[in-house]
Amino acid sequence: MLMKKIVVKNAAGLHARPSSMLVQLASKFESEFHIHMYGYRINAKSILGVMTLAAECGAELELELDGPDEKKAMKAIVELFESGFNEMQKEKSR
Amino acid sequence: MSDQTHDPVFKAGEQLINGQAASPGYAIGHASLFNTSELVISTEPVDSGEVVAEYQQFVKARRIVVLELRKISEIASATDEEAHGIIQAQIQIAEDPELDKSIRRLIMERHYGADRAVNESFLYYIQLIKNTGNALMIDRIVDIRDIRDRLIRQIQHGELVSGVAEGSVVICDELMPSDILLFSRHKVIGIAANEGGLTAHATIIANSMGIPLVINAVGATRLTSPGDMVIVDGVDGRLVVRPDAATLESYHREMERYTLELAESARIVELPSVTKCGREIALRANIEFEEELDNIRKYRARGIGLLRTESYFIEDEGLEEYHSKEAFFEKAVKAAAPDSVTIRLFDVGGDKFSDTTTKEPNPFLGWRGVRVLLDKRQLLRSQLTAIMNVAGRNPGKIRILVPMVSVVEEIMEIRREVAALTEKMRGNGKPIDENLEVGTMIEIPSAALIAGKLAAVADFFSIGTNDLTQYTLAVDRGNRLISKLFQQMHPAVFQLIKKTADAAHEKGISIEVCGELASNPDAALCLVGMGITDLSMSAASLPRVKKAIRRYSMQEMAELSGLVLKAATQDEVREILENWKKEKEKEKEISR
Repeated sequence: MLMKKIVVKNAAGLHARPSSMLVQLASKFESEFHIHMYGYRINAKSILGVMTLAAECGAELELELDGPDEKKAMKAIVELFESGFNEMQKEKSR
Repeated sequence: MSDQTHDPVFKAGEQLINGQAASPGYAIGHASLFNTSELVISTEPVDSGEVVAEYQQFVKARRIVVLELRKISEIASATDEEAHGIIQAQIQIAEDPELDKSIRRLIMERHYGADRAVNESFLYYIQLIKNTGNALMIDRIVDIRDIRDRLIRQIQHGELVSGVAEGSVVICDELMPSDILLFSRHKVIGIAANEGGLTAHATIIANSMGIPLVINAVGATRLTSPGDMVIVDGVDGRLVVRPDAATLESYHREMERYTLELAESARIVELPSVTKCGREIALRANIEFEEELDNIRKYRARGIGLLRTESYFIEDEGLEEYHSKEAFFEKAVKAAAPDSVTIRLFDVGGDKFSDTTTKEPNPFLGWRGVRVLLDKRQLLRSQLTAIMNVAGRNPGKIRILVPMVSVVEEIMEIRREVAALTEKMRGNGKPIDENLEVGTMIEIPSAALIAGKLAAVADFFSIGTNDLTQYTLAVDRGNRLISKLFQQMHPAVFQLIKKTADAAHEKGISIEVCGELASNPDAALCLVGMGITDLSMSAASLPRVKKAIRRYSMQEMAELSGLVLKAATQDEVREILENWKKEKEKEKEISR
């Protein structure tokens, strides 16, 4: 099992589109994926669960991955968070 | 005034409800009630033995809802990135593993009905999202509710349909096209609906399936109880609830007479489709569903004059069967052989477009037909690829028809796409139909008025009379307030048809009429009189049209259309037609 703390970077926070992207990415991996926030632990392959977190910009979360491809999954998911869910890049290109 | 409808005494006697005949024939049988309009959640607990089946019902409903969403998302993906994203998220919501767990638990452990379990599970999440106070998230609750409603409707729909007894008469509020397909699988013998429209999609399907249908039978669901004996009179447009002995007897006589008439039409089916002077008239079938393909042989249609392709995403239950467009087109080509199949490209928009993310104030004057196709090239190309693959394997058997063309550039752009795809296929060594024809629908007055110009860029014309009527008279065909103005036989409509026919003849391209106007025998005489010798309609209408055109010569019909074109009103057109037919009968009497 892998754990990693991460901060939401994109301005609008973990709203519907990033939630959807996150769940879509996580579903590609076999490993179980949970997010810890404000003492809650939610199944991060559940879009409704992720949406109920309503994690805003600057919010601190802990990612928990557990399974055969946990390393690969963690790398990809952290990259998605780091990229600000492609939002900043999109804003630059405008 | 007290509501007497729940009083059994009030419901006891015979009730006659006048409606509108929408699909001919009679049906006498016991009523099944089918309600589609309200979303009422049952609180009835499920028996322990039934919980697994109840959960399976949710799983099935989810599968259908997701398929439907995938289709819509396919359409949205090309241009509207935001809508595409929302629909993708909705699919994820429908397939959410935690949601599934919650629903399963409520059904299995607390014996909730599937609809109630869905409702409660969604309520929980909606409440949590509200509690976050995050405006962006709260805005998305509408998309979440939409999924919930789709699921519940799908669950209840399936349940109610299975509640429709085999061989019964369905009494319902309003019909959806997919309902009729489900009813036909339940061997429903007749349908009466509180509402509906004559040119509505569902009506057209009922016709082609040969199920008697009465629409606008106001109060039908209120005055009928399940199991009541009812008569659907699809000839005069009536619903009789709990008929007394005398009424039943007279209807049984009517049914006998009607059966004889059908036998007569079966005889006509075998006769050649020629005018009195020996000119062949090509009578073809309008087809939308695989279930209708048998009608081509049954009614001896000359192939398919209009193959509608919209059902790929408006049909829900049958979606899986239609996953392969090519397979369906191949079946159509086989059923039409040795004649051809004219495939109309997706005519989405207006009443057919179910994508709620593209609300327009004026959908019928908006983003429809070729306008959508040219904006959503992926959708266009995927359809063209399917059609052209099948055409390559069956050269000369397929024609492409472009809907809602209002300006010349649209048809030219479609031709460019076809040419590019042809080259690509050639590069891949695929078989190609080198002479694949691309025609245009004439259903907008501007297209009819510049028919001469369109004839230079189109291989053939097909006139869609429903839309042509709607756009010529500026009458929304679904609007009941102005339904009297929806006059398909209005002289203005005939004048535009004449203008189009003249242009086609002058430029030497073929022309056909594929709207429901062609299925009216009187109107068909006028169309043939304008030199349109190619008519496509719901197959069940073919015998009566053939019977009419066999009686007269081309010259006689040309004379009739000349008279009709001079009329000022639709009533005048009707009067001219009646008098002319009487006159012709007299002439025949004398010459005998």
